[in-house]
Amino acid sequence: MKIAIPIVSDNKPYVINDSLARAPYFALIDNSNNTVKTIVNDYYFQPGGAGVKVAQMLCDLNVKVVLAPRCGENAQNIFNQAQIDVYQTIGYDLQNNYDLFLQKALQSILVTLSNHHQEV
Amino acid sequence: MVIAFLSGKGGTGKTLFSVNLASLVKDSVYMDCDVEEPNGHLFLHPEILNQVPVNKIIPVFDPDLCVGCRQCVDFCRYNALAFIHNQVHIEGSLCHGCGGCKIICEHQAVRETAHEIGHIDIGKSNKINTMTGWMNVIEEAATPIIEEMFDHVDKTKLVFADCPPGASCSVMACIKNADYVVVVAEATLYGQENLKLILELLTEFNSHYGIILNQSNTQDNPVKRYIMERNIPILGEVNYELELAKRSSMGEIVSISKSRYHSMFKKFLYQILKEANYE
Repeated sequence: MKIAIPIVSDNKPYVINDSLARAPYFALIDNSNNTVKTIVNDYYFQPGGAGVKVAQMLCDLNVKVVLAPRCGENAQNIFNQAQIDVYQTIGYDLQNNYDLFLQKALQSILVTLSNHHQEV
Repeated sequence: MVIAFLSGKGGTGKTLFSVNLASLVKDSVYMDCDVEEPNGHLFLHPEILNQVPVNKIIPVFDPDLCVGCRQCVDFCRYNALAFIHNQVHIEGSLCHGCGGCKIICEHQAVRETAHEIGHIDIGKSNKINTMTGWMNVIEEAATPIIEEMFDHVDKTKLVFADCPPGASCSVMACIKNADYVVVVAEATLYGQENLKLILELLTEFNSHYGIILNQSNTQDNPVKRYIMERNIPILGEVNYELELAKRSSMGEIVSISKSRYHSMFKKFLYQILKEANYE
């Protein structure tokens, strides 16, 4: 199973990025062989609809789980269609969050950010 | 003739001026283009004579005809489309209804359907005509409603268009339909920064404009200094007055109800019409 996590840069140690769609890079963890690779987010600079494009990209990469601090409404809609689960990270440490995910200690993201306003 | 009232930021007095000035001209049109939150009706209480729905065209994808080539997904410049589990998925809020996906599809898998995004109230308030645009809650694209309003309005009349704040697409839709622009500026540093944006936009559109300085009686007025340094025409100034603020906050049209304000707004009207070369 592939797990995608937005990261600030492709330098180790990987730091989780605050935004999902506007993350410069993604870390892709394949837990079937315990490998991590990084990919560039080509949609980082998109003026609009970056969430849709990123969700499409992760879907095409056969990602099944996304770990992120938050997720916009447009991306969430595509993830729902693609049956990709999104979990909310705690803090910025990638390894720690991956461990928490394996321990089933992360919460599913149910409340999303709408396009312009943060819902509480 | 269309006179558009703009400001970089909200709350500078666009509605105050457009409502009070329109009320001075018999058979004029007050047009509320701030379709996300129109408030001119709170002053004018128009009788609604007609309601015109405004639709956006959105695509519908036929899964039986779609071959999954993704040409539509790649073509969509608004990133409104995704191809998930062998079906095109549309994010309606991002779709601008441009029709590009239908044109690009070689398999006739796209048809279009109308989706109501708002409406226009057409009415009368005493001696003036009113148009109020309303955008439905959850909709995001105000421009089609504003464009439809300008298509409907009788431009042989004197039209006072109360425009949205900011410098986005909806403001540009107003600028390109205006014969003359009145920028209502607020005498604060924040007001100055927003004024810069709107003036940049007006220069881009080669618009004919002048500025009204609202709440001008501050000791240090950065906006006035900025305007004077650049020789931009000032149509007039209004000082902050508690009475004017109180009466306006109660929805009173002071150009009709108080002689002092009647003459103040009349002077503004003459100045604007003179600058706009209205005959």
